[in-house]
Amino acid sequence: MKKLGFITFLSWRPLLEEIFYFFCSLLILGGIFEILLPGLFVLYFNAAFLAAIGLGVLLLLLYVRR
Amino acid sequence: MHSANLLKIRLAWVSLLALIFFFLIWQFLSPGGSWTCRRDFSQNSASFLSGRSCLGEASPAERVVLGRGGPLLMLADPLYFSVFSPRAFSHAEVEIIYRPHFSSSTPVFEAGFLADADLWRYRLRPVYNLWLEKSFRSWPVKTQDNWRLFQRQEKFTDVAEFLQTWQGDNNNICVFKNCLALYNIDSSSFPPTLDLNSFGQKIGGTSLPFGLRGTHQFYFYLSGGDLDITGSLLDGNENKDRDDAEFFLFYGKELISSLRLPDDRTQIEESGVLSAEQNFQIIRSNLKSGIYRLEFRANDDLTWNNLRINSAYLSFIHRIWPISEFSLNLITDASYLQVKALDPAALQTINFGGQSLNISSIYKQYEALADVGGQTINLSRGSIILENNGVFALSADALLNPDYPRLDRFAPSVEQLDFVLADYEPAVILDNGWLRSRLDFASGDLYRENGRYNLILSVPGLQLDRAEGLLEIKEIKVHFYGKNLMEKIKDWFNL
Repeated sequence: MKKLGFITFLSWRPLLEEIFYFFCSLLILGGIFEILLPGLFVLYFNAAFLAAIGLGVLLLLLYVRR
Repeated sequence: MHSANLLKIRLAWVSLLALIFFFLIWQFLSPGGSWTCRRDFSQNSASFLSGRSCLGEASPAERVVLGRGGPLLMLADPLYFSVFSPRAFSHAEVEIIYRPHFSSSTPVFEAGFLADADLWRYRLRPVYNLWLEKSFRSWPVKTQDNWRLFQRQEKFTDVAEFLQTWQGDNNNICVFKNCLALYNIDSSSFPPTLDLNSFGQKIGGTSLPFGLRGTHQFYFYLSGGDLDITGSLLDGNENKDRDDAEFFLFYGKELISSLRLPDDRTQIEESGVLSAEQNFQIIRSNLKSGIYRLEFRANDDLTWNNLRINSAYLSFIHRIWPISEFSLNLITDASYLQVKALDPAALQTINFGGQSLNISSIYKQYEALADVGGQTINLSRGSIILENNGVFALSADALLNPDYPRLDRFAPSVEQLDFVLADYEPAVILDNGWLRSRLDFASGDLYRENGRYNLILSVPGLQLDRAEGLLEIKEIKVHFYGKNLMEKIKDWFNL
């Protein structure tokens, strides 16, 4: 059962990676907007919440090696 | 996972990111030419998913209470909010839904934006005036646009007729000495409240025996001819900004002359090193006889020492910050005095109209109230800020105040007035005692930093340690508007 879960997780790993890339890109986009147009990005997005999700996904990815 | 699926997923999130990018650009451009920031304090909209509110938190925090489900309770004056807008707009309309619990000590509620960050000046508009909403309700009122004329006895059929009479021969229409009180009206085009024929007899000048710190404005009377003002500037170099000085000379509404003295002193800002005294002289010739107003704009680093002017009538408007190590005496035409010390060495007991006022803490505002105006103020030393709604002078002979009584917290009583003229839009009455007021601002030149304007709500007299009222605020909406994107493009290309 444990092995099956591990295999399932491995099969979802590429998706997790894409999610991680998305949140990283969104945070970079937000950072650029905050430098150029302060206050606009944080008006619509909670940067701390986005960073927490990104970090959570990163920890999940690190938990399982390829 | 299949590589084709992976590609689809990647395409999806890149598209989503692009969508977010264009959404943010769209918001920044605001192509429709408007932007609305609204905050309802009766709804708890904050969640960990959402971003920040476009209307920041009220500050200082100790002056407000916000319970679950609101509204926001304003307990002390003033209150500041930051208001985000993605770009600058030419106009701003502020709508406030509120429930006032005011007394005669707190009759006025005003709101506005920071217009000059250097001098910390706000452009305020009336939101609610207790006198106009309640006390004069029984008086006949004539309306013309937003101008409202209240008459004790109905003598004029409209505002225009009153203004025409008031500008001409107004001797026979008054019963009381105060006669006319104004609110939110620029009285510089009105005839002065003083009999100018009684001036001009006195010759000579005035020398101030103390310095003036920071921005000041004062009235003086010239019997015609030349103006000669001299003095010296001393730079304390206590703050980080450059300390330019500006002088503006007004005759009524008209700007007669201006002068700018740039800070080209060699001392480093924030070093605390005193500069050498910089002497200056302002001479203007062929001036008409009458009352002039001189505005000295400078930040608190600059002190104007050795002021000399060739006028025997010299009165400082609303505020004076005398700098002296010696005792000094002043007189004010107002019956009220507000005192603040910023320097521990300035703590003292002052005398205002025979009553003692112990100034025992710095940065704390003290107040004294007398029965009538024309009270003397005795200070054991200077370096103390004195403020009220009148003027300050060295002696009663030098007092000069051409201003009309104002319908603020120190307004003359209803029984002492014949007319009241106000530029005021009454509040709209909603359910459960809530009121709604709308204020319009030209926001093109308002101060904006990091995309945020600075909004102030002011109820003068509202203090934490006094139970003289409070203000419930249910909602604040700021609607910015101006040219849309097409109009801007046409402007750029001169189409």
